[in-house]
Amino acid sequence: MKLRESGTRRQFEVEVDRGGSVIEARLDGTPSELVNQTLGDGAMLIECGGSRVRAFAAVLRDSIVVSIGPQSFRFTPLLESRAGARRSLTTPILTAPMPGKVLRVMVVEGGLVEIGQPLITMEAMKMETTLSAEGPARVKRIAVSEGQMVDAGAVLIELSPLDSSKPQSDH
Amino acid sequence: MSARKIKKLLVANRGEIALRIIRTARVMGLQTVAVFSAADAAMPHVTAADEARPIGPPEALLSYLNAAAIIEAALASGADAIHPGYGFLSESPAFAAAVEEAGLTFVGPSAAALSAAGDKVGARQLARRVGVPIVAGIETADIASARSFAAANGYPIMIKAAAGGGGRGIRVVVAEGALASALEAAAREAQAAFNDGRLFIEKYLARPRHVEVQVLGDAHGRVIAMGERECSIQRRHQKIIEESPSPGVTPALRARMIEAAVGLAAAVGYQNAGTVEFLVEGEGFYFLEINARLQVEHPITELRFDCDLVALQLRLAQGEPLTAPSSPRGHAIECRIYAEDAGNDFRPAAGPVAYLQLPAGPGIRVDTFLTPGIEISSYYDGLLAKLIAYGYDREEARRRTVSALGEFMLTGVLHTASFLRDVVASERFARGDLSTGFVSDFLPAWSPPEESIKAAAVLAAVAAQAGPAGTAPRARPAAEDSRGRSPWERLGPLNFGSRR
Repeated sequence: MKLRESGTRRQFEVEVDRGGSVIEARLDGTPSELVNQTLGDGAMLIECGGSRVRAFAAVLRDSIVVSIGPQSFRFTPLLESRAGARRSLTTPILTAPMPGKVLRVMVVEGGLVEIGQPLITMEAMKMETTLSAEGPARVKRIAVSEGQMVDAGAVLIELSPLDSSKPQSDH
Repeated sequence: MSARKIKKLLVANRGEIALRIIRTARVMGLQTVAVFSAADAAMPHVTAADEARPIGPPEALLSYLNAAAIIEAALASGADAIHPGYGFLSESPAFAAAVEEAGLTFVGPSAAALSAAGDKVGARQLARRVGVPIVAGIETADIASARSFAAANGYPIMIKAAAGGGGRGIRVVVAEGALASALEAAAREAQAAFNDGRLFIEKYLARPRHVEVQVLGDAHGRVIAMGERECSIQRRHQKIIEESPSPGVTPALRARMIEAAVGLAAAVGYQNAGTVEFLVEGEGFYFLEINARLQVEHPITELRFDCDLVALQLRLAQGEPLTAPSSPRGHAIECRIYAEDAGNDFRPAAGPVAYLQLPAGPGIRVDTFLTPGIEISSYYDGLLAKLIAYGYDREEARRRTVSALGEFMLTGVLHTASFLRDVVASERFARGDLSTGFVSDFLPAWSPPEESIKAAAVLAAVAAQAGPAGTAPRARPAAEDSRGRSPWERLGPLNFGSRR
């Protein structure tokens, strides 16, 4: 499966071959082993970077959260397109990364957006956060309006990704 | 201030500070009343108090900032005093006045002192009168005055909100071209945040330290100081690591700063606990502002002076006189763990507390409201926990901090514990080479170790396959199935990866 980590914005292709006390997996094609011991409280004791550390993983509604000691990570599964061919990096459905208020919607339905273009500004915890396009796309649908409160994971905008390698014929 | 014995205290706040105040009140034999918004009904501060009253919907403006609802809750519950904590209504002169008008005791300074401290322009003028140094600046912010100030003093300059706080309404302008738009944006932000668009301008100090002095005043005109706190490690103009004493303040500078802080507090007839903030460059210091409330970072002062500042606040509110503080000892460091994605420019995070392990050990104190199963929502400030370490000297406090942050584990919400650990463990922090530019120097080269990211990716994939996202009710430990076995056992020797 393909996972994207939110802090580092890195993507991983992970195939788990074997569970148990030694997890065997292929990470971006490279075989890796993880020694782990299940603890009474549902956490694991793993060997990582030459030392033993507690770890915990939980599946949430829209993501998978993992702690390695004090480090926290959030992974989002990425969908692969129909033919199995990789799409451009654009996540086709933009969801709210946290619950909050939609302050501004900066695009219109049917409009074209470029990589990095601001799409929507949300307010959460007294702070503004602007979500931007991860790749070239057409705005298929805007699911929210300004001033609306949304839950984490709520669909904000649906995009139709454009293949960045092809010239955009619809200009 | 109505000076009489408090019997029942309403705590007009939430999160770790509400819990912390309730604990001291309980020790002092007071009855406690919690208030809560609709989002907080099951929060630990609500269950910790003797009684609890709803004050409105989740939005802070309609609940924790709803002065009328809070005073009504106090009267209905028979409370005789209100402690505002920090943030929310703690520095509102109108709230303090309304509390006193309702016949209740406000645990904090008088409305007049709050007004004097809250108006940063007025406070600057006061400092000038009392002879406390201030950063070069002007108290008007029209474009023409701003241009001529910048021409005389050079860029960069800093635009600030007269009613400011929490880093809002602040803009740094590096060149003339950006001046007009920065003035407009700062005024807009200040208007939205404080309902007061007035601005002032200061010369921008590039690498200052941020050092503050704890002061306390009683109803009999006495003002004392309880040492200083170094608060230079900040992001978005908000502190994330504080320590006491400051590693960069000499005894001579400390004495001058304490004299200035006490003089300023006395000049406004300050009662109760407050903090006078300064910027420090070399042996020079400049008055920044008065924070007329209990500070987030008050525990480091408590550990060094072996006192309970909330208990002192309650005694001062009852009209009791101040006594001389004990001599400070040792060193204390506080790290604020926020619900934020440090790798993504400290973007706010939210989610359930699916797994929690809090640090402990000699010299370690954790002030938090975290409890397994609660939901961290985006309605309020993202402070999750404060880790406070005390040591015989700075190095012991620093090593205890690094070790304890390594024990902190919270799954479900992204948080800053490992970032803080890496800062405190860094050679530069160990040297005490601190400035307000520390985080922006440190962050670009910071990332979690490669092995951790990879291990996390593998565990995420295992968890996803064991319990597909979407079927989970809300938060579910991936490590257990319905029969309590871990997926690692359940999966055993199976091959379950999707094969191609």
